[in-house]
Amino acid sequence: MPLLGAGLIADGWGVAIVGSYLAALLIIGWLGRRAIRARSMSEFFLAGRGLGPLVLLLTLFATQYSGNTLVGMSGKTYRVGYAFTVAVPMFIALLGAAMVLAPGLQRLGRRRGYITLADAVHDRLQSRVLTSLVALVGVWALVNFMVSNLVAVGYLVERTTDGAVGREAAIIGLALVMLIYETLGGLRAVAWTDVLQGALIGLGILVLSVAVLATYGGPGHVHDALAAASPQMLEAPDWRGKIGWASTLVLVGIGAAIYPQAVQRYYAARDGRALRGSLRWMLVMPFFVTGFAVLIGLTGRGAFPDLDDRQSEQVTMLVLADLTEQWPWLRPLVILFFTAILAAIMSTVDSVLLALAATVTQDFYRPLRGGAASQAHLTRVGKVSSWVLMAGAVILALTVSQSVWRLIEIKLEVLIQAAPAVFVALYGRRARPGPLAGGLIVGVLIAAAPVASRTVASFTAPGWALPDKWCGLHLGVLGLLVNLAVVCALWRWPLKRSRSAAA
Amino acid sequence: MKASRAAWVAVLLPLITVPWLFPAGSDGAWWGVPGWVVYALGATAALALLVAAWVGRWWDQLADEADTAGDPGRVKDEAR
Repeated sequence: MPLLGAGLIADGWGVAIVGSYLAALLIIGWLGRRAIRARSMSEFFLAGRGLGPLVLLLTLFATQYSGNTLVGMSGKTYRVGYAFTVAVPMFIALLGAAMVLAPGLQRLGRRRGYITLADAVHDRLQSRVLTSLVALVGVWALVNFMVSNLVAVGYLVERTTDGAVGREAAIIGLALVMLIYETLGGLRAVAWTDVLQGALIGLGILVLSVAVLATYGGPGHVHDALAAASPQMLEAPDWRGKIGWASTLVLVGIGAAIYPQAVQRYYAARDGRALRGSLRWMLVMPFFVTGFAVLIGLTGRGAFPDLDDRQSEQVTMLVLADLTEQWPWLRPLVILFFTAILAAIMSTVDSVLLALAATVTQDFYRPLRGGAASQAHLTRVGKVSSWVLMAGAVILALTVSQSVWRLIEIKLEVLIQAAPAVFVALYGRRARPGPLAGGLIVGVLIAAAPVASRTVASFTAPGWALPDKWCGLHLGVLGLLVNLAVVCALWRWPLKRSRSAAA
Repeated sequence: MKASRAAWVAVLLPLITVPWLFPAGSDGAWWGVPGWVVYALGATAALALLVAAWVGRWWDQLADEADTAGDPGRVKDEAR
């Protein structure tokens, strides 16, 4: 099979569109710098807490939908068929969970000056141990996100330029572009570039949905093609599949609602009304964005039924390349869509980088300095840590071995364990950090057990490893249930003991 | 609505989108799409509408609850 999507942006059109896009990002970064009013953490990391509803909507949109949504989800749909329709409700579940946490985070974040997710936990529960655990869990998820997206962008550019731009050069070059505009304008620059990136993603999806439907036919054609080639892909899931569906809703719903980069945007909202409006509009997006990814996966399955698992990851590029062969005039639009994929990846990486730098500065560096550090100094530390973190991520993306990579490949499973601590920090009437820390540790151990066992097995006994799911339930969700049970069990215990001692 | 109740609703309500009542292997098509997929997407649309309505109604109440819950701790950032 030829290299899919090869040479898509190797010609003049491709260089012009992608080059203009990258230049626009740098200009926006410069404009973001001009708009900065003071050298403070909230100005740099939270855009002065002044984002209005439209910018918030587009930055939440561009951050939430990564390259994985547009490329990886189509591949997954190709492999499992209609069962991956769960991708649509899982994003609504995410917004449902966000609607519980965002009002409290936004209100308290503004009134009490929070910068990171762990700030809420520290402010309300006053435990350095629990705060550090929540921050570490966030860092784990963010590093995973950043490195995997850098790896993806390297392969994407190498393939679509027909090797003219190598993987290493692509990763390093794009990392530099992101660092420059982010250092210049902080979250303001990131959010403004997200507006451009979100618009590109939306436009690309809209145009190509129409082109795909017109070229390959609507749902009826997809149904007929699947019935002939892979009829099992039309069937309703069995009980294990249904539990897996429910488990996915809980995992993504709760986990992604407390992504540190999403929480940063809750804090950056001009007011509760702006955030509420943006989140409401976000409810429309899954039907188009994940719906598009599912449509491409199903269409690809019907049109190209013989891809193996590895090739199926490239089904989006294959469908796009096939479209340009059938309709050469679509080529600029397909290049535009490629730019949208690039934008989706870059908007995720830059947001994650900013959230990571904020966590390092606020949750780890600032406590070490006590009250001695000024806002200007902390902002400088934030900028320097962005460069150091990006350098580390680039090195990881270029060198990390598969066996090490397995350790960080889970993110939501681990991140979800921080949810009880965040919820109690916001709405709990009693501060009991001990039980929350205990539950979090137990939950993380359970969630990470399959990955850890695979890593150990890769060195010792190949073939043996714990499964990722138990009766269809993700181990991260199982870990959360045990986490909650531990919290409930420990919550009253010391009180009872002190009462009996008093008696 | 209390936050604890809202949290349960946010976790349990999305489960209506699971095609529980469609037996494994059923593949009858409605308008060219398997019936269980039409159900799942319809339930997802209903869920989105409910969440949108919920936001309008409970947002301020949840924010107020966060405001009043717990003991105030240290003040950070600009307030320092």
